[in-house]
Amino acid sequence: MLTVQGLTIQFGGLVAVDRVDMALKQGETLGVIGPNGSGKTTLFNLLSGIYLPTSGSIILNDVAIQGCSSDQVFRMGIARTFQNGRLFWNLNVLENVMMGFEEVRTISLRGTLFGRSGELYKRSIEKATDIMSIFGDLLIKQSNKLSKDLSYADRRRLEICRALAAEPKILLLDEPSAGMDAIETATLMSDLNKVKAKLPNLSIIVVEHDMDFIKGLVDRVMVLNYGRCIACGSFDEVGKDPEVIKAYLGQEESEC
Amino acid sequence: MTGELIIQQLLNALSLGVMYSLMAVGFTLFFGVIEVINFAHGEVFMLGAFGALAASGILISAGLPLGSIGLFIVVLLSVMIIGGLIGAIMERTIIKPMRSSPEIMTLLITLGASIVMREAVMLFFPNGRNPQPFPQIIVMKSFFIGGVLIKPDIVLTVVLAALLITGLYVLIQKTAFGRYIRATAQDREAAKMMGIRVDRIFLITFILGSALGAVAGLMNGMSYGIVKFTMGFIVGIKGFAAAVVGGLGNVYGAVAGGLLLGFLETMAVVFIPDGSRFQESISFIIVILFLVFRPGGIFGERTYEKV
Repeated sequence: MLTVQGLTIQFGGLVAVDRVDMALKQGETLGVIGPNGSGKTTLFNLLSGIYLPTSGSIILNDVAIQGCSSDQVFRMGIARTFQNGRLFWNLNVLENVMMGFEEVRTISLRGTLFGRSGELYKRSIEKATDIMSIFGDLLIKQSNKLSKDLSYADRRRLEICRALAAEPKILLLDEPSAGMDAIETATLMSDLNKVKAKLPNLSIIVVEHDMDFIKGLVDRVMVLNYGRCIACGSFDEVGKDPEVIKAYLGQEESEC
Repeated sequence: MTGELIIQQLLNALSLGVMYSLMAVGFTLFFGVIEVINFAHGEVFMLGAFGALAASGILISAGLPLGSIGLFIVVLLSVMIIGGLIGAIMERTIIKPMRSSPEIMTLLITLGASIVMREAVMLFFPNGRNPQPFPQIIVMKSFFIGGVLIKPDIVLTVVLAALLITGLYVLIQKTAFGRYIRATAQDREAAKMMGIRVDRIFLITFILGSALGAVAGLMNGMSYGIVKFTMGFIVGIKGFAAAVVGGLGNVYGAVAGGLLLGFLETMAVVFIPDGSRFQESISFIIVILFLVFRPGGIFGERTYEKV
């Protein structure tokens, strides 16, 4: 479904992502781990069209998408969340989710002024409510709140809903549990597993530091270090890889 | 001073204020959504007035049986189309290509465009060098209500501005398009990543703001009965001042800022002895006071509240 070959980006003398190859099957969940500064978010920025790669290719369902702008990549089916949260603060919860709907892709002033029947709006609200229901009533009961007034954990949840609203083929989650406590992280993991069950064709790539979270969610793990992929495989396989232990897990153990 | 005179002056203040408000809304939309300070906006105002002059001249000489209101509506639509078109051309030719340039370059280029537009009217509009009488579009007699002289032009101006501002409010707050504008204003990169074609949002924003500015030009022509090619400069600066007073980027602040300037200017003329001498400078004194003591504008909102 998604094939990445030789993906490289260079900022001056720094090679932030260095000849990364990866493949993602439909319905698969891939975890991307690595120490800080290893290129995880840069990889996401390349996949979502924010950065233009220096070299390499990104093929989504036989279409090369490297060089496409971020709105084009979104319309092709890759939606993402952000490490630091990029909600639209001056829009309410419901409006944030609705931002992901298909109507966005066909926006016209005429359509906006004359083509929006009450029925369509009602359907949009129903659809948004349905998406938010993956987190129980946590977000639904706050539908009319401005997103800036949400708790941190709810903001992360809302970002996931907004990305899912686009019905993407691939969902990129950039540190979804950052800033959550242990209970919230566990709940998020179980909620995301529910999303996977509900949308079996959705592929997910998740960048995360919490190893329990990664272990409980993903099918495969890719480890980045200095922009290079140093290991790829199941969580247990990767955990035994000496280079990984040295680069990342070992470092964590010594920190503990 | 009699109560009637005060009410009279309040009406004048209101008609001046709504004109500034419409101008300020344009400035604030450009800044809030596109992060551009468009110094050519005053000339769009002037071109709106000249467009209205040309359109009404053609329609009146054609002798179409439109009636006052019919004529006004056709002129209004023509002016909005002219303003929108100028806005679209400006956005595509000078704003869009400069998007990745430093802001000062965009500022300079809009200043250059304003000079080109002004000189073009002076050189190419028939008798453009001289002030031109603006035809009376609404042929209705003024009337008195409780001793207050009511000019139908003023009533129409205020009602029209109120309708346009309400329309803009509905567009921004209640429609999908408004959500896209608000989202783009807040975080254009995230908006782009939600599939919004921000290029299109920028274009439409420029068309909207410019159309409103051109309508302000029409209102000015109707209120003062005269247009000249230099009229855009000072009103442009005052519209910008009103937007700053309202908090640049805040649409409702721009409306309030315009009304405040219109009110203070009019009252200065009435209450300060020989006050008409200060009329032009009072706006700028207010801007300086705001910039020093309340740089966030009337509502003191932060940038994420913009639009």
